Amino acid sequence: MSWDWRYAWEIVPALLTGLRTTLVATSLGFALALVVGLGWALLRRSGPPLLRLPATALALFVRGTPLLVQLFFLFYVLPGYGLTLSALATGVLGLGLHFGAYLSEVFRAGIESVPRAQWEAAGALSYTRRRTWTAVVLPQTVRHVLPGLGNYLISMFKDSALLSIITVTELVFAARSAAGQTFRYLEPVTMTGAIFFLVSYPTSLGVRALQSRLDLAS
Amino acid sequence: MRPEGWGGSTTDPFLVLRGITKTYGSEIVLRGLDLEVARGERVAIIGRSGSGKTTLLRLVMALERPTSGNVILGSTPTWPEHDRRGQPTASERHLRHVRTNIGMVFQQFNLFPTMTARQNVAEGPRHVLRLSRNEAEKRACDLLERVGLSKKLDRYPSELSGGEQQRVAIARALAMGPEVMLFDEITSALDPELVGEVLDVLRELAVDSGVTMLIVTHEIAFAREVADRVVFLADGEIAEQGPPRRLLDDPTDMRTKAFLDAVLRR
Repeated sequence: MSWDWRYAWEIVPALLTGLRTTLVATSLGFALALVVGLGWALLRRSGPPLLRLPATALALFVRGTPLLVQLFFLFYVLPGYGLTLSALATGVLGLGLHFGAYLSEVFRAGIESVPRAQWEAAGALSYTRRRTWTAVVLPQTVRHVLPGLGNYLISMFKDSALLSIITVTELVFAARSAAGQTFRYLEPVTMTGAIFFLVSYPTSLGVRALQSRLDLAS
Repeated sequence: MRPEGWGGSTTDPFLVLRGITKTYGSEIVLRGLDLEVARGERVAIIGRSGSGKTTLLRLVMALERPTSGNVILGSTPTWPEHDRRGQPTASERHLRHVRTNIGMVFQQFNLFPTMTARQNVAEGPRHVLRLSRNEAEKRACDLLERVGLSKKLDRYPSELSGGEQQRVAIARALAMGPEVMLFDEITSALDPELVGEVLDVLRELAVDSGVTMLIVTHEIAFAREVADRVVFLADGEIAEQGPPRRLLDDPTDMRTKAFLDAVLRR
């Protein structure tokens, strides 16, 4: 089987449409994961004591089960209980929850990296609890967690390929449809890999650049 | 009961530490300490490391809760209630209110690394005292100018020397308009050549601010120069106190003598 440039060129539009869905799923999923992860970390750290243990247990459970199983559960099981979401919404929810569980660990470590003396300095200045979090602790946390967040963003981007299995028409789904019509796999699969790399590598460079800029300012 | 040689300038105490005991597990850091400070008085607190000096300041700042006893500022007890085990306690809200009257400068500066010098100083006035953005900024700039940093307003702490960081920290505490300022060995973490600039600021403050000051320091010469009274702490108690000249030149307590000999003979 030799590389067919004409065929490769033909499927580019379909793959790019798929990539757009991949990017949409990743950005929405990551936004959700940030909110879920930070909320989870705050809940586990200073939420009502009755909720701390269940929150910790749930995070443990989510991290200990495959994303694919979670996606299947959301996509095939929940509708049986009357909760039906579109494939894309299900995918975003799955990515958000799954990676939220990981990000909560990242945030937790980041929050704990802020020295006690910083809390005391804020206390000595009579900052409210809320202001201490937003003005002192979280900005330092963000700086600390940025490389970790960047790595998880790239992981999520790649893992979003799993959404093809619950019929989200993202990049891998587009490649499989193209291949399914022609039985040529070489071009769609190779190009899909190349496209993933072309997005993830510059992103990792960007994360690194951002990190060194923040280092300068601290 | 006041020891002989009491150096306070008035009989009306403004800040009172009453019967303060502080223990960590089985370790007793302060044992039933009493101290009265008059409004505007400048008290230097000296003593060996581990004698409880820093703990004393942290108790006044309400960063530590006494095991028993109370701190009273004006007529307000810092710890108005007792918990089930009889330890003094207070609500977060009450503590925040108490702390607005007190400023503290730490040995390690503890500036906020994600804020510029100006932001470090303006943040409290803006969000705690609820000044307008302009007023808070102006106050920050004025104070930073007063500590000689008008050219470094927008530098981050990591871009400042230790002496500069400590001066920002002093401005940050002053910006809240405290009635009492606490200085916790503020030159101990500095390179020797940077000590002078920080003491200059502190000296100026002592002379013309009228703020009540508690200064924990190892700089005996400085204590002699600016303090109205020197308190010598040993073993969690006030071993001796009095006007600087009397206490530093003619100590009566054996522990004071030994300490001063050790420090001054360096």
